[in-house]
Amino acid sequence: MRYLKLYARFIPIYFKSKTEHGFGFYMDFVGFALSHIVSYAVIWALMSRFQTINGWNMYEVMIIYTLNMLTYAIAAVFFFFQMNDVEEDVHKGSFDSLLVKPINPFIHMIIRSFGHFFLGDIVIAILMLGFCFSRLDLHPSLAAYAGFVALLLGAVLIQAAFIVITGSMCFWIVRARAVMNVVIFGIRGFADYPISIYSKVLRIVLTFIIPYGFVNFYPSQLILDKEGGSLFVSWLPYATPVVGVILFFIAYRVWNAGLNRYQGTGS
Amino acid sequence: MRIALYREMTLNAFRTLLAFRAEVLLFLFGQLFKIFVQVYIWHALFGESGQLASQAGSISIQEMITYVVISSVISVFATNDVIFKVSSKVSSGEIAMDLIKPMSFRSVIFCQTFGTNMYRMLFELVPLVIVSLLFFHVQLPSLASGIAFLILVFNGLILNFLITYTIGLIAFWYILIWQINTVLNGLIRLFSGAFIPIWFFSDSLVQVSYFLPFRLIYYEPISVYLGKVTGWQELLAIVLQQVAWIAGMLLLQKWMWSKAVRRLVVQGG
Repeated sequence: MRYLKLYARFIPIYFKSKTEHGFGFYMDFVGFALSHIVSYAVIWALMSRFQTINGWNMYEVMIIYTLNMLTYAIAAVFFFFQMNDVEEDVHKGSFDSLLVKPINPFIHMIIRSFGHFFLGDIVIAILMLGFCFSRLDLHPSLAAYAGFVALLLGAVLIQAAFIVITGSMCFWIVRARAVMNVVIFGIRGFADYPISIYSKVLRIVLTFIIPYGFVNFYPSQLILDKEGGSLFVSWLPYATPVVGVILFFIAYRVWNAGLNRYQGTGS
Repeated sequence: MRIALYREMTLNAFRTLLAFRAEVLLFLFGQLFKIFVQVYIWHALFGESGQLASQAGSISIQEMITYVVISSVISVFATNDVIFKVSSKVSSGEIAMDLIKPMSFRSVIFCQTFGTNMYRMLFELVPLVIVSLLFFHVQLPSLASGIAFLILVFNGLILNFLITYTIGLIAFWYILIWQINTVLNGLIRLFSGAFIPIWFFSDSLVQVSYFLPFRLIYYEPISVYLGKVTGWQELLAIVLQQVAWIAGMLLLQKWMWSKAVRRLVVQGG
């Protein structure tokens, strides 16, 4: 409760500092939107030629892509710039300021900034989901929707966990940004398409070791009713929230281990 | 004398990068992941048959995988930060230091990019090629197409540099250059054939791509590499298009530069 009150204080300040730049602030959204439009255009160019990939049609592939983008964007609002700031603070030695405040540093890290950049992504993602659902003529029941949202919350936790884990690497190595980039812009790219197209080894890795498969592939199996194409066991989609909670817990432990390792600059 | 100047500029960029070896290694991983994803996508799209009809005749999965690998080899060199280099020099005023150098601003940027590319050749290209040869069946070109390919790639990279440099000059008027960069990257991703070869495009997309220079950087050289373009007339046509675009960009950047320098105001120094 106290944290929520603090958050309500922090965020307006953050937005005031950002909207000061006026025009540029709004153009940031346009920039992000454009890069996604191109991604959809690529999927369209590819799928209008080939119709299906492994039994997934264009709109289903778009849903896969959109879910990866949506869950990442929601997680990134609260963690991406925040973890980047942490890296910068650690480099500059100003990270101590987080440790001396009477709040859990993890919470403080989250609430002191806000990834407004990603709000545009969320809007585009929701519009695209609606568009693809109507094109596929999907009318899930209210209960199915609720279940789907629950799975997506798990997916958001997974995305957040990866940002926190890779971002926390800055407590151990100097160039943590590069690790973060490889995981978030490299490995996450594997989930832009249905993971059933990959070899068995990769599917196992993406399900049990680096579980990006749970970000979009397994949840969408449920909503798209793709029972026939299920990998491993058919109840895996339902495991998404559990995987999310476990991974996020691990991420929190990694962050805490990093904190313990941090040794200021003495200034 | 002049050459020595250029050489020093180039080597400086090279030496600066030597400090970032870990990043290069990770970049390499990122690049390999992209190749893996694309190879699997094409495997899934080709299905069992391993052959697909296209605008350039029948394409085998082997050729397609070769295409993916060569495309990412080109992208190692074609991905540059020229746009950001130019815009950050303009916004920080560092450009004043470049203006007093005894060479043109364009040459300064070019040498720095060239130095970066030399470095990338050693630490990114070589490992990338080795891993690709180990994991994928990359086809090798005939000697003639190999030489033609190298010439086309060279021209293509010059063209790529000029396009990014010219767009970077927009920073003199509009400082938030990264949205423009996003648009450019998007156009390249879609219309250069870097990801989807133009021979799989629908007719309307093919037409659009022919009005844009980007296919001369990726698609045309790779087609030559794969032996899809054989007649010397066709080859000559591609080279002429490249030269025409290069000439056009040179004129455009010259005109923009003459306008830009007059606008430049550097506070103090």
